[in-house]
Amino acid sequence: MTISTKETATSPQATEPRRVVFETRGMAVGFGDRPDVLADVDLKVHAGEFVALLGPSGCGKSTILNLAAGLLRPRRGEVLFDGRPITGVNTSVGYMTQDDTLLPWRTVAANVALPLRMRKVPKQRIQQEVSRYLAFLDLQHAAGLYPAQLSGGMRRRALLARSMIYAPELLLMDEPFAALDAQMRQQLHADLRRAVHSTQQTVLFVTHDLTEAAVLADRVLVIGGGPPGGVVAEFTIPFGAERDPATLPYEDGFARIQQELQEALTRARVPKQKEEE
Amino acid sequence: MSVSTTVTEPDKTTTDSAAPATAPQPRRSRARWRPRLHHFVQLCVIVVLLASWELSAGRLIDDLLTSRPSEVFPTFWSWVVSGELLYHASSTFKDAFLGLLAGGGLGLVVGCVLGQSQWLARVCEPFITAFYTMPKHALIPLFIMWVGIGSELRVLTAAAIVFFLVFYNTFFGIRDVSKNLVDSVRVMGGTAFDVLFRVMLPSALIWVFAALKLAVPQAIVGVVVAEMLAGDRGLGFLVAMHAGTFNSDGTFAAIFALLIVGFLVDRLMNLVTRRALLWKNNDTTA
Repeated sequence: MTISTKETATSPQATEPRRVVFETRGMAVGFGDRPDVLADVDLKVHAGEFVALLGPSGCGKSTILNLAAGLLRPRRGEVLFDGRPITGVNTSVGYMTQDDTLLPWRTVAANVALPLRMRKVPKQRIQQEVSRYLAFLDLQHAAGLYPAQLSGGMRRRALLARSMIYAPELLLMDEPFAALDAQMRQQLHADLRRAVHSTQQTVLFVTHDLTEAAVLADRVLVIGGGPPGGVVAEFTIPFGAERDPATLPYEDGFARIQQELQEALTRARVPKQKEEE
Repeated sequence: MSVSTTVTEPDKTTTDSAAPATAPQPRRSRARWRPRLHHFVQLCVIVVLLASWELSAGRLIDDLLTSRPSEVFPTFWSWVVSGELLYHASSTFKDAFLGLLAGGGLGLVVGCVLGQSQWLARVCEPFITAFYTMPKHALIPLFIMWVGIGSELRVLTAAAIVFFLVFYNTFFGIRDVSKNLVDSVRVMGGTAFDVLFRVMLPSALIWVFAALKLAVPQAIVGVVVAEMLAGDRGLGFLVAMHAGTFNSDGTFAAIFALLIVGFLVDRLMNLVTRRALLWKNNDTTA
């Protein structure tokens, strides 16, 4: 089964100029009267792209997502969405965090329907969309259950369905599977890749797990070197859109990518000395 | 804070205690009532208490002061038959209910407003705490001065008590709402209205129901105390009147009526709470 809300392109070409969905220019951000957490950050996320932000804990990766969601303002520089500065809460994004933000008093179906209900989508459309997404993420049988009755993996899938159902222009994910066991996480990686591929969803994914980043993303930006931190390295992951996250680690070349990411991550832990671009 | 001790923390319910359900579990149907050992023991306790009361009255203790079950229950029954009990009990109930409605409604609104605004909350906090800890029954003489000794007095007393309980819990309930939950709804396209009605109020509901579980019996206490101090009807009036004339049968019968009322009201509140917080209860099937 596929979900196609957007035009299905065959294979996103890296060379073809694509629309920039999210962009920061010379962005610096910090909290309170403490020094900048991130400074001089220039990054771009193109439509249809899956970008992972990889970095050690506390390096400011999640801060970038909060900027994109409009929950935070930069100290300096520009943060653009679709070419325009973000001024308020950005409702063109979907945001899935490590936290369980399902509303506990709503059933799974009602939770997944919530964004569409708040967007005043006609009832019948909502019903169609909800059952489509529940089926796609293998949650039909859980439609009438409350979040407290679900396993961790099912809750994650319900959250994924809720974040994607309104076809946001950009899906922000902040270590969404960190609390799951390895097997469940692998399953959800496959689910996510499948969902993202069939909807051509643009994703900005934060993780500190380099294998997760390599398995999922088309492009990995390594964040760190702070404070203040920034983008210390950038990698293009070549395995294409129809990859299977479960078998990808056994493909040729994957180990080399892992090693390069590992080295970049190690460099990201030491304060920035402007050693390389 | 004393009110919050009765509240179980909302987040704890979502910890992964539930087995991964593979099919929609049937709603916990009310199991058919069967007598158990503890019911039998409870019955024994009642029988022993009543028997020792009956036997000691007039022998060990002066039955002018304690009366005896064989006289209390006929008195009680005569009130049931004559409709006197219904008249007084319904007066008490009506006033308690109106007080609950007025005090609870106001408490909910004020709690929501103050819970939303950090600044207002900071300004009002000491005043609220001062009023919260003050025994509201001490205001009854003042209320008598203001509204006389009619139904208004009893409603006002109940409302004053209920207001603080409901307000306090709503206030903390709203403050307790996870910021992540609010942010996630705002990013999904939720307006301030959505946030209030789809996130804030439902989250606060656990706290509000905990408050109501206290507030409903307290509303009755307020009305009964007001009835005892002033007025011409109600179960509190019955107790005070009979005690005032050294009629211990009547006093005990009226107290018995209060006992039943309190018990029934508590059971009713449990039922209502369980229905309203269904989502919360069905992870820990007791």
